[in-house]
Amino acid sequence: MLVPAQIYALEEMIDLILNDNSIEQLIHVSMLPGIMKAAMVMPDVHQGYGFPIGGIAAMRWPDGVISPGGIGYDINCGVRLLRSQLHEKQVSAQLEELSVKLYKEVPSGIGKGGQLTLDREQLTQVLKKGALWAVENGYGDRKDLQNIESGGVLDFAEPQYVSEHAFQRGFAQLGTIGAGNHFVEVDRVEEIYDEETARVFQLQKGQIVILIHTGSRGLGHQVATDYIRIMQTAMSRYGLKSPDRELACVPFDSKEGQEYYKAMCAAANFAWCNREVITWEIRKAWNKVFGENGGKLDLLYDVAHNIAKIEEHHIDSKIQKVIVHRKGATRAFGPGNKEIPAHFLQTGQPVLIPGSMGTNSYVLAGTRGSEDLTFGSCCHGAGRRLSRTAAKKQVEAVQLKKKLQDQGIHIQSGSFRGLAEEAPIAYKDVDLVVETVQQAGIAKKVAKLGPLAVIKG
Amino acid sequence: MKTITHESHTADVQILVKADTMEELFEGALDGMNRILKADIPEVNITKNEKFEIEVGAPDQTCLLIDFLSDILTESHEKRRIYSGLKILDLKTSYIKACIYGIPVESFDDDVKAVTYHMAKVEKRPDGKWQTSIVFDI
Repeated sequence: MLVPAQIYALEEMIDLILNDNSIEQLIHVSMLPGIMKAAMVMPDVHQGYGFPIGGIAAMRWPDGVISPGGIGYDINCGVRLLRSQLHEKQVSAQLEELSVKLYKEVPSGIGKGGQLTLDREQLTQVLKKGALWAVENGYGDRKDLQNIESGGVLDFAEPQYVSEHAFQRGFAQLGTIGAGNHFVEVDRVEEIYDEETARVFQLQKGQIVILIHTGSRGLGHQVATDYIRIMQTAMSRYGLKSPDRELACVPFDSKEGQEYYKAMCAAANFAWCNREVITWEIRKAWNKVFGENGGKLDLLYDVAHNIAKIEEHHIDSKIQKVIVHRKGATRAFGPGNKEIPAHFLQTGQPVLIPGSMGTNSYVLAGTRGSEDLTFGSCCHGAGRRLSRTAAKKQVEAVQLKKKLQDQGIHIQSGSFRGLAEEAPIAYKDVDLVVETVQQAGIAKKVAKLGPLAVIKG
Repeated sequence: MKTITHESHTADVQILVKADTMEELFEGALDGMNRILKADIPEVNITKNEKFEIEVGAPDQTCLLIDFLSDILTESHEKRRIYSGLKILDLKTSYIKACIYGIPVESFDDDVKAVTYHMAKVEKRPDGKWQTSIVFDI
């Protein structure tokens, strides 16, 4: 190990964490050339490929390595939260109608295409401009851009480094959520923990909000696949070896490193544009159900949890530029950080933590503690604890759907099997995950959300 | 003879493929991937269905198998097809050339994002049989 390996978890979570190979993977990460300070995992950690999911690693810039496995196949998978002006009492009678309209309006499901089919020039512009493309083409709201991490675009993107295969997979998938653990969810704000921050975030008890969880779809998956393969061969030219092929890496300032990062940025831009178009689709559905009485849905914030960013952090008493890999980890910048929007400077940025299906989600605020301890990062969700096979054996999908409906949760799902795989029992306890990061001082609880309707593929 | 068994993996799908020959290992791995994509695959008449020729070179046998599956997965997603017909034309340690035959599908059962190198290791066992694990990112 070149640096320590750190696990952020409450004691009662350790046995679960030790149940798979995530800590062995963490130790491998700690051996990567150029890694700074520590390799870290959050309490929602579970086994991934190469890097564990729920992991953070920062490499010395510019010659430390970049590793696609430290970002994941779903580049810029992330979450956004839309605020409504309505209270639960005002929507409860129309929740079923809303869930049906959302399911109809937001394409979901495996390999499903969207309402938009782009041509090559359009997709190229999406890869360059990110969420701005949606705004410029009538699928977004300019006011949203300030409330997206990095303004919804990474300028380093160069579409020429995105392969033809990735382009082919991206043409018809803009504005789609996909399947698996991706979803659109209607929630109510159940509890407020920090009144002052909630006021800045414009959240109040009983308010209806909508969460979106999705990423870069097939285009991003293909970019990751392409460059992991390229780096397998390229590594040896830089004298690098890896204990795990999925930890394939090259120096960031190498030809392959730069090309991957430019392609990764392009895929990240696709994901931000995707979530902006999905927001447009949701706003359409909302208007169809509630009309003018529904008011507007506006964006609190949009966060990425599979990404690499060039950031400056305090290390060994000086500010240093690093390449922060967050794989299943969310940026959590605190008060005063110049990277976050001005209206969050007093509170720290919003951090969105979706729970598993049917369980609570959380809105947190970033802290200076995260910048001191974890390169400005914290957890991203509940983290799996059961394999899909085990979940399907233990959970009967029809009964699960009925149980959720009995709890008042409307479910629109394209796949019963997918429903069973995503059952709450398959995931760690998100309350414990959030409690861990709160106690560690790397994020603080602002609000708890309770699900009312879940739309998934 | 080839066998495909599903192994436990926290987030994704892992299969263990065993076969008498390298060719059968590749056939079994492809079948294993396809059955994740689509549980019920119609029979393929390999003379009548869409085919593409695939040619892959890789540093070693393990990379070769993973890259081979990966290329077919990409084609499946792009063309919305299951490529279950396979005719291997040439197979060496670091090279494969084959014809793949596919049938169109309306949808897939699982969203296989990628074929990973994680835990993959093509090896010949002491009993002469070939085996490898393969983890698919779902």
